[in-house]
Amino acid sequence: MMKVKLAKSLMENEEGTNHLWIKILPPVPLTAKKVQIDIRLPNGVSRLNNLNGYHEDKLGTIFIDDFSKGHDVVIEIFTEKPIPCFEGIIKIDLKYKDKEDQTKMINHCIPLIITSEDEMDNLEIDNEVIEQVKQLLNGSICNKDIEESEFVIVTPKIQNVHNQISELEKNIELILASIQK
Amino acid sequence: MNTYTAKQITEILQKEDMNINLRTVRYYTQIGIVPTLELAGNKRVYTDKHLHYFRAILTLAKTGESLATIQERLEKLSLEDIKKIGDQLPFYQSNKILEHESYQVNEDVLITLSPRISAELKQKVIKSVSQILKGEQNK
Repeated sequence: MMKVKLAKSLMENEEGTNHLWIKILPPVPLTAKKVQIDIRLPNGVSRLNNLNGYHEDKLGTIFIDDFSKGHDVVIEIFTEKPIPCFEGIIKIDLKYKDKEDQTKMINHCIPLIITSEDEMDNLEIDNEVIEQVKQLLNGSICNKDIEESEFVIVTPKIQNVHNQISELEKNIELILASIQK
Repeated sequence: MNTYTAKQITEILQKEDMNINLRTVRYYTQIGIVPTLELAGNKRVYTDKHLHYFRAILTLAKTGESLATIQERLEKLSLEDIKKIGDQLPFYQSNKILEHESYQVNEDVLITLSPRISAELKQKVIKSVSQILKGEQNK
């Protein structure tokens, strides 16, 4: 079984962000290996890789082979260019192997209401999802450009300068001063 | 009081070389990372206070802290302190880190110089600051 929720009850049809939270529950064995999740989004809605860092292939299938990070998966979904306002469906397929090594599949659907910015006054926020999102986001990642760019760690160059004039420097200064005289 | 739309806030931050987009500005507002918007007539608007919050969030984000931790830290600070954090963002832009050199004169003073400064001038700056500090210590 799985529990699926959205951070926002409504999502803007242009430049909108939302988060999809999937919680994996029994009878999916919580020690299961090779759990796969496929997510199908309505047209015009895109997504980033899962925030939990689980491996995804080129088709966007999420592979969970270690439940030590928890049993939750959070995915950022978004709209960019304007799309028509409608009530779409997000479809989630979860595959796993049971104790007898048989492949089992569970499906889940959740409605996604796409609306214009002017209609967002009735927005409701799911705090349980938001708390997960805030823990997983680092404040700058909410941006497709960042997601697609390489992350480079640069160590700042810091040189220590002793706040003392060495004896040699003092001697040089004295010599220079005497020459200038 | 200056007032802004989400789009204007995004444009101001982008002009300052900050990597943020409109949907992030909206989302951070909706999930309460920045304070509730002000009412101007019957419209909800952003103000300079929100600009300071966004700058501070983007600065602290450079440390890799989670959004939850950043929010927790900002909640304990005055607006003046939040503004000070945001003002430091230019020092943490990747191009600055790549190009600039920092010199630690002592544990309280760090001088950051751009590559445009000649080696000779660098030495003069460091020496002058060192001497000033030495003078202060001897007082």
